[in-house]
Amino acid sequence: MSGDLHDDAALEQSLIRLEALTADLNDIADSKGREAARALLEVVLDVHRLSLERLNAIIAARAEGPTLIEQLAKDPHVRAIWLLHGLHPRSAGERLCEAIARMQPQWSASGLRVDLVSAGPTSAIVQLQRNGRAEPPDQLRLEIENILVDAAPDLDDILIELDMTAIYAEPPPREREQIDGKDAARQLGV
Amino acid sequence: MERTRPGNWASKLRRFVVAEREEHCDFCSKAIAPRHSHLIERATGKFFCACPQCALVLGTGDRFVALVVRTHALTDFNLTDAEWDDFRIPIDLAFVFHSTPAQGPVAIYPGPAGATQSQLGVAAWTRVVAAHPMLADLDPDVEALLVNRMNGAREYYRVSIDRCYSLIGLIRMHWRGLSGGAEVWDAVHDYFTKLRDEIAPGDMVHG
Repeated sequence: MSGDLHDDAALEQSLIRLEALTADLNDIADSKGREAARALLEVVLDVHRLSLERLNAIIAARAEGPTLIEQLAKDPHVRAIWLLHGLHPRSAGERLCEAIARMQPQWSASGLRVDLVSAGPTSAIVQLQRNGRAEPPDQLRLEIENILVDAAPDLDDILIELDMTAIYAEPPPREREQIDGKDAARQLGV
Repeated sequence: MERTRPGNWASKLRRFVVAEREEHCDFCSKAIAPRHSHLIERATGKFFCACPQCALVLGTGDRFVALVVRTHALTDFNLTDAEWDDFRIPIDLAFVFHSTPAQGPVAIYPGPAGATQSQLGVAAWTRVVAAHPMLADLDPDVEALLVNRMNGAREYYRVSIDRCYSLIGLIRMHWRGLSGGAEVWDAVHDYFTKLRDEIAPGDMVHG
């Protein structure tokens, strides 16, 4: 589910503006003014969060609730609000895994393997490995960073470990099939 | 440069809202002053806020090391372009330290997601330490060589690692778009200006 392109662009602009205004608030030298703004935001966010929690609980209680929540999670506007309030049904780690899995074929073709090493409530560690001799271009690294931030804008930090020494080698097709098969068997508990 | 896409907007807003709430010791949960001690867990590199008592008791053990805030300008010190190139860091701003979790020297440099950590070649770092012996006793995990070679600058500092992470935080806050934008580099310039202003003449270390 996604709004039309115009709505999505407007949302992105709003988030950019939200980020800039937050930076401006942090820079306010007047501590009373800053504290008043902080307190106002805290109350507004609390009221919205409580309301959203009730709404989510009502949806989840319906027979079609899980399906509806899956659909809503794909809507960029709903997703943004859930992320802001810490109510997104998927953890930051799961969202990062999904983004990496979606982009991995394209990044692999460009010579990079990307793996999520760990993810917690405030930070995550992602490892980049080359599968060739060439250095990954800076533009590609920035693209990866931006996709990771898009997937988890609620994390304080995404630490990217660029392993310059290890060379990741794609296993030959037959070996890869065996590895995939073992992983599938493990997942099925076989 | 205008920002072209959002960054970690949700984290920034939430951190602003909780920023001025009361802080507590991560070990005993006692309320602590805004300026308080920090311990670093060597095995993970994680920072912990500590009350004076916990900092005293735990800061001298094997698991944690107490952070002592320090900033020394390394005067008469320079990395040659070849030495710097050996580090293979794509921008001219980074800090380098010995990481216990990584079991070797690592460089951290800023980007739109926060920080990128790159394992340094041991040989490259060993060559630099051999040429600049004042780096030999950098305290692992808590002290770093901070390098600023932006826009032709050649500034080097021996600093406690909190200084480095505060620079990363500053960059994360002001980064706009793919290349950072003018605002972030102005903020970096201000950071180094303040750093230089804080350094007393006695904190100059000659290379």
